[in-house]
Amino acid sequence: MLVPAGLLMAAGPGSTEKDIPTSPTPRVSISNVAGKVVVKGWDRLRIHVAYTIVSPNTAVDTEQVPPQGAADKVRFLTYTTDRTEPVPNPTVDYVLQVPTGASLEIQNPQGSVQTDSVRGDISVESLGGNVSIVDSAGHLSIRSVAGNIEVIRPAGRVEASSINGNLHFVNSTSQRLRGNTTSGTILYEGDFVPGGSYVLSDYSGNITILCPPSASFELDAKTVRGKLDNQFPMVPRGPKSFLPPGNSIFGTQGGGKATLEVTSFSGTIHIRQQ
Amino acid sequence: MREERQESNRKFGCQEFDANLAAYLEGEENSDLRSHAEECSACGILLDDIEAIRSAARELPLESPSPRVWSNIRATLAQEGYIREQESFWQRWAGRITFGPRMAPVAALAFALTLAIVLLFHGDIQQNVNPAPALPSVAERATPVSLSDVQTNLIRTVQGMEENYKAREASLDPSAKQVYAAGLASLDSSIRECMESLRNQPENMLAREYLMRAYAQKAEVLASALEYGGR
Repeated sequence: MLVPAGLLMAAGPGSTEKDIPTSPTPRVSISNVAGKVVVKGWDRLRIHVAYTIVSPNTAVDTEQVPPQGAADKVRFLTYTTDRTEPVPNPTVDYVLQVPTGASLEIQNPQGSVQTDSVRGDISVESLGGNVSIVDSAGHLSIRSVAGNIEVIRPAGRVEASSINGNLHFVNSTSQRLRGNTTSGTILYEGDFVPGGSYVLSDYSGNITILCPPSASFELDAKTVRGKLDNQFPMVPRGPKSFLPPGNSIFGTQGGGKATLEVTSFSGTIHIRQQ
Repeated sequence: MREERQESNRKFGCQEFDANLAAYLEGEENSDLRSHAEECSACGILLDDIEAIRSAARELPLESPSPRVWSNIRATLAQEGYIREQESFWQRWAGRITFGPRMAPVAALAFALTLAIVLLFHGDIQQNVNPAPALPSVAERATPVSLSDVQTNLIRTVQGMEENYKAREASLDPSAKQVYAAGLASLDSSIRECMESLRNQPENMLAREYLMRAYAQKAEVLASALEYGGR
């Protein structure tokens, strides 16, 4: 059921603001096409949204469940008001503050997405826009075709995938991190959590792991046509790879408390000390 | 706001089409939806595509993987956190559909296809059973790459999706079209290189794995493009 949600507040020209009371862990969905989506977690049990409609014949629909009281689900939908003359890229800029326990589902194919301090699950689908996620704690799932993906200080499970975009992970404390891209690059900066599992895969781009000299991990690095560049004095271990020498490394570093699997088809894999 | 939308679209429109599509696909009669699909080209194309894919999927031969494969599938899904004891992955996934905006029946199918590709390729790699003649595409005719029947059929399905995409590519927004084209070009390039590697080194499991992954990603990108085109 669609209902007007929240209180319409004073806003600048072309900009609308709303305030919606929520539960501590609301599910927030934003379905946009182009423009910026910025979401920040805060310690209040309400969502504050300010959106600016940039393109003509474009509107925003707000839906909340339940319709009255603290919302468990809130959805923002960008749509074209005139389907007979559709706008190529309906563009709306969103800025939201949400409870830190909120979970997010964001679709913004032609625009960028930034989230900060949102601790619930986050799912982002993008086509060409860049995605930046800072200080997440829930399950993080990001998919893009050409956008770059930056994940800073994730604590929950991470799955990031792009075709032509670059991936950048910084200071992860996640127990489980998966990143893959086809032609982009992957840069992982930081240590590994004991017991953690990290899988990074690329097709033609380079992969760089920058971790402290004290890092503890078991490495399984393979490349079919690329090169391997490792700065750690690892203890070799089996099993032997079918790949030629120089195209794979199976080794233990500093006790091997985490597992790191890095694969590239034709890119170079760098394992370097910070 | 709701009133504004109703005012601008009193009859059964695209929003109503979106809201009723899932039930219609599950068999619920809806003459309004059918009439709207005949009048609205975007919704009509979407519905035609979904029905074409459903029809094609029905014609795929039924394969019966061994219990070991099913066991591996279940273990993998559980390990990935997709299934729990009380709730199947499909139930969880279906639950998301009700809250999602313009749900993605195409994406749903592609996801299932992707999952099938990943798991079936994986099973075939592990078990290496029933190698069959190569995919009879032009590029691979000269020097065939050994693929199983299941792999060949699934790749053909991806090719079918690509034909659908090409048929409607012109209607895409130019910037989106450019992004999709670049993504598909990267994936096609990786598919060609993996095929070439496999022709030279049929035992190269890593190349086979990359080939499988490229097809899986291609299915996802095509599904996304087909859905985007229907907006």
